[in-house]
Formats: sequence, structure tokens, C-alpha cells
Amino acid sequence: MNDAHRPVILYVENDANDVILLRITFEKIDFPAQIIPVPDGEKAQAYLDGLGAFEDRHQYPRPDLVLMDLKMPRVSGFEVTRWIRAHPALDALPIVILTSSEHPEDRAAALAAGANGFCIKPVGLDELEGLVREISQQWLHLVPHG
Amino acid sequence: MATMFSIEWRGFVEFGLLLLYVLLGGFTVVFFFKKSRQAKGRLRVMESELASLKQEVANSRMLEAEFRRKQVEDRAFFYDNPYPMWVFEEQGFKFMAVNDAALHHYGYSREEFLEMTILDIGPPEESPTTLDFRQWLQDETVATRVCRQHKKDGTLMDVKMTAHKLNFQGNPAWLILALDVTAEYRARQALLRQKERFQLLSESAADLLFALEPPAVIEKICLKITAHTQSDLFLNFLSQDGENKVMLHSWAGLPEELARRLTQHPLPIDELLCHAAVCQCQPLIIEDMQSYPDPKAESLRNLGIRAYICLPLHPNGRLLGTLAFGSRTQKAFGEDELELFSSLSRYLAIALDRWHLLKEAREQSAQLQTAQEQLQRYTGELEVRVAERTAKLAQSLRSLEGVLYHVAHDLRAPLRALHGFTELLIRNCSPLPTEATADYARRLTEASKRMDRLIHDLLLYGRLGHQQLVLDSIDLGNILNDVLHEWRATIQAKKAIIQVSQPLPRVTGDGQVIRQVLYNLLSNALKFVARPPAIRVWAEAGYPTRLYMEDNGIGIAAEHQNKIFGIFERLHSEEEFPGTGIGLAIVKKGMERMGGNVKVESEVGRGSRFCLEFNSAY
Repeated sequence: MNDAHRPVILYVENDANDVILLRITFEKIDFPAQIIPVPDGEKAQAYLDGLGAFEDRHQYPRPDLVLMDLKMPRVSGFEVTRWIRAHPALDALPIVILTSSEHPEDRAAALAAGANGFCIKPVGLDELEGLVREISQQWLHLVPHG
Repeated sequence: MATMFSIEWRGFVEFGLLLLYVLLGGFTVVFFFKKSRQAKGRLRVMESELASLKQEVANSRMLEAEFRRKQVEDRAFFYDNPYPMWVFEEQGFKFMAVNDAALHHYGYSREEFLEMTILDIGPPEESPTTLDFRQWLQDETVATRVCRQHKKDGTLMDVKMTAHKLNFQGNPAWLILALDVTAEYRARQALLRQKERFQLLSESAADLLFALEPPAVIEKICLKITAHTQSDLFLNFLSQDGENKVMLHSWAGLPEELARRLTQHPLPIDELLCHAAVCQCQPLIIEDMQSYPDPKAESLRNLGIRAYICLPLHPNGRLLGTLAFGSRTQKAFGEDELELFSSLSRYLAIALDRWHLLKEAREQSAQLQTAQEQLQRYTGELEVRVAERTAKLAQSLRSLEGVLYHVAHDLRAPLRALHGFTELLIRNCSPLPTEATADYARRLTEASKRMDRLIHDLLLYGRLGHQQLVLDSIDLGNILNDVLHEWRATIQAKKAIIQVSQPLPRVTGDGQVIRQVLYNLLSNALKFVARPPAIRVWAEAGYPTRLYMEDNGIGIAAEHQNKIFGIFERLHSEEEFPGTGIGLAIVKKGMERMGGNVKVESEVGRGSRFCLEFNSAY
């Protein structure tokens, strides 16, 4: 157990590149958040339930924020969102959709499914940095040092 | 009349009287002679009496002569009467007296006549019975009756008898005046026949002309005609459509086997008996078929037909059939009958012709209707197909959009990686060894950024094509403020001056689309400019409502002003002014989808004025 609780972000994303870029960006802004990636919706559900490999809550702690991609094979981001919201123990868990889709219908559908936020993945590290700062401020109440 | 019979009787009486007178006179003379001495004086009396007696004798002689004369007259009246007269006794109908005219007319002698009864001169087949005759005579004192009688040589006559009851030689008897009315009777019969024929013809004509299907009434009419003309056979052939053949349609007087054969197998015209006549459009009239040499007539000869006529039915030169009549009892048809057949065949021809024409017209009308129905069906099918195609097209467009969406989505992921890792690479390798390397790095990042923008704009343009518009009453001022806010960084960086003539009017349209349109226009106004941008925005309310955005940019040459709204149309290179070439295409498409339009007025070096027209009908 850590004294200072590091915020845990569960990043549900099937694209490995996006995961790396996000991690690097978080490191660059020197936020203490711990990024735990899961590659698809089923694994996300298993993680949140603490099933199978994810039983070890020490290694796999409960997240403070879920960043969710929409377009994933088999189980989509919408479904996971709905599932989380229907989950009795998880209803307070903030979910921010992080997708490359600029379809206004997707934004409306995601928010209707129960997501708290909807962000579009930008091209460019600077833009990504700005987005990450915004998300951390809003949902993790992290204030950047300097 | 009674006096005539008393003539002979009176003769005897008179003679008796005369004798008596003479005898009386004689006795008187003898008496007076015996008494002559006594009555000389009585001589004169006797002489005067004798004179008066002589006078009386003379008188009676005159009377006798009168009687005789009357007798002769009366005798002439009966015996010399030009009309046959006779007396027959009531009891046994035996002739008692017959006049010369009767002898002459009937051909019997007086002796023969006086041996016969009135029944003997009746027609052989139709002898009136005694009872019947007696009844006739009992009806009235003077009675008239017409009956058939025959002469000695067998000639039949129609006789009108007038009878009068009297007493003859002490017996009740009848006096008959017989009037030969054969001629009048025959004339009246002929007239009746004429009337009958006329009625038959006009009825047949009416039946034929009013019948919806003339062939259906032919049999009925021909049977009537056959009965009237005392024919034994009629044949009606009708032609088969389009071929040179005929088939038996209705008939009477044929044996069943022959009729069956003829009604089942069409006959070529040249096998008909009346073939030659048909070709000449003339009727074929045969007197005594039995001696007609043509072999085609064999079957008719075998039926015993003698008189025969065949009439071709050929209105307007087209052969529609034939009509034939035959008789076993008559050797040849009379003129009246031939005329009757002829008229009938004319009516039949006309009726058939009209029927055929009506049939053709109806067929054509039915064909027309079928064609119309087919056309309607095809039109309906076509509409269905068009709807299907349209639906398919819409569907494929949607799926295309889906493809576009997914493609764009999937394209952007590697793009992000490309861009991101390039940047990381640059950072990790910084400072970069050479100018050139730095340049290459810069170009890499720029290229991927540009690609992302392109994909983004493409997606936008594609969506604009067929997305469902959300129409609302939009405050242009609000939207513009939002857009200006989005561009605030650039506006500030470029030190741009934006002048907006408030208040801007409300329009009906899709808020998102209007936002995109204004965003793009502003983007251009801030981009295509060689000095600090000065942008003016104002509007004209009305029908339509117009929004103007004027800039102080580089302007657009006249020949390019249409092109710039085309997709991917760029007037400048990426180095001069970055852009995707889709911005104005999006503006145009967006305005058009809302029922409006975009126009530009521009001059190179003098800036451009864009005008957005909003359709008030929306």
C-alpha cells in the first residue's frame, strides 16, 4: 500500500501506438497517474470485476478514471460504458471517451450511454498534451506542477 | 214464286172451269131449246147471256195467256238464271230442281243431278256431315255459307251458297243460289300470304339487326321462312376467320350424320356447290335438282331436293357465308319466294357484316385495354424498381458513408502514430545533426498533419451530402460569436479586425451546418491575406436573408470564381497557403442542402465578398 495514492487510469484501447503516445505524454507532463492499458472491452470488464488474472488488486488496482476508445473488436466502447453504468459498484466511476470519431451522433450516443466526457484523439504531441492536462484537471483534480 | 208453281195447277183448274162453263152453257141451250115455244122472249136474254159468257171466256183466255207469260218469265228467272240454282228437299238433301247454269257449271246432266244429294258435290276430302249441314240450315231462314265443292271433272271451287226455305211440291225444301267465289278467294289468300310474307321479312330484319350476335338468331328465322315457303331444307354456312373456308352453322332437314360431319369440318369454298355463283356474287337458282348434272349436288339429290336456291352473303365484297333453301315438293321456287329468300339474305349479310366489324372493334379495344393495362403494370413495376434502386442507392451511399467513416477512422490511427512517433524521434534525436535532417523531420510532421486535415474535411463533406438536417430557427449572431471564439487564437496572433453589424437576423437552418460554413469562411478570410486581416460581416433580412462576409484578402480572379467551390480545387500551392481545397466546397454543399446558396464577388488584390443566401421557405 502506498501512502500517496497514485491515481489509476484504466485505458481501454486496442491500438498499441495510441497507448504508448498517451503514456509518454503523461510522463512528459510529469503527472503521477498510473496508466493501466487493457486491449479490449472484455478484458476491461474482467479487470473491473477483478476476475481471472486481474484478481490481484495489488497489481491491478481499481481505477479512478476510465479512458475508453469506441471502436474496438467484439465489445465496443458503448457496450462497456453501458455495462459499467449498470454495474452497482461502479456507477461513480468517471468514463471519458477518447476516440478519433468526429461523428456528432457518436458523441450523443456515448453521453447517452453514460460517459462523462467525450474527447477526440488529436494528431500531434502538443495537442495531445493539452488534452491530457485538461482531462487530468477535470477528472483527477490533478494540478500540474509548474 | 208461289204463283209459278200454281201455273200448271191453275191451268188444269182453268181448263176444268172452262169445260164446266161450256157444259153449263150447253145445258142451258138445251134447256132453252126445249122451252123455245114458251120463251121466245127469253132468247134475247139468253143471247145476251151467251154474249157475256163469251166475254168471260175471252177474259179467262187472256188470264191464261197472262199466266203462261208469267210462267215463261218465272221459268226464265229460275232456269235461265246465270248463277247455278237448285232446290233440294230438306229431308234427304236430294235435288228436286236444277237450273241450266248449275248443269253448265258443275258438269252434270239434269238427270244425274236429280239423282244426287247436295252432299255429293262437296269436296271429296272434306264432306260436311249431315248433322253439320242441317245445323247450318237451321240457323236462319236466309243463310250464307262458303264451302269447297267440286265439279264432275274434279275441279275444286270455293262456292258461296245463299239458301232460302220454301215449300216445293208439298215438301219443305231449300232454294240455293250458288256463287263461285274461287277467284276472289284465291285473291284474298294471295293478299294474306303477301301480308304474312311482309311481316315475316320485317320481323326477321328486326331480329337480325337488333341481335348482338346474329348467328344465334339465324336458325329461328330460317325455320320460320322454311315453314312459310313450304321448304324442306335450309343450310347456313358461315366463313371461318381469315381462311377461305366455311362451316355449317345452322340447318334443318339434314340427316344427322351429314349434319355432324359438316359442322365439324370446315369446307373449302371451292368445294361448295354454289362455288361459281359465290365467285360472281350471284345467287344459284336450280329448278329440279334431280336433273342437275353437277356431282357436288349429289348429297342434295339423294335427299330428294328439287327446287333449290343458294345465296352468298357478301357485304362489301367479303364472303361471310352462304344461305340455301331447298324443297322436295316444289320443282321450282316461285318469284315471290325467290324474292323473300333474296331479301332475307341481304339482311343477314348486313347483320353479319356489322357483327364482324363490331367484333373487330371490340378486339381492338380489348387489345388497347390490354396494352394499357400492360403499360400501367410496367409503369408500376418501373416505379417499384426505381424506388428499389433509389433505396439501394441510398443504402450504398449510407454504406459508402459507413465505409468512409470507418476508413477515415482507421486511417487516422496510423496517422496519429506516424505523426506522434516522428515527433518523438525528433525529440529523442535533438538537436538534429544537420539542417537537412531537421528539414526532413519537419516535412514528415507537416505531411501527416495535412493528411489528417484532409481526412477530416473529406469526412465532413461526405456527411454533408446526405445527413439528416436538423432545422431550427438559428440566431446568426450567436453562431458567429461561437466561431469567432474558436478562432480567437489566430485572430489575436494575426491582429485581425472583425467588424460585425449587429444584430444579425435569425434564419431557419441546421445550426451545425451553419457553424461549419461560417467557420470555413472565416478560416479563409484569416488565411488568404497578405496583411493584417480586416473582416466585415453584415446581413440583409428579407426573402432571402443574406449574410455578407467581406475581407481584405488577395482576392480571386474572375475566371476562377466558379472553380473555387469545387472539391479539391486549389488556386495556390500548399507552401503559399495551406489548405485541403475542400473548405469552400463544404460551404457550398452546406448552403445548398439548406435550400440556399453562396456567391462571391471578388477582384484580385481587392479582397472578396462572400454572400450567403438563406432560403426563407425552409
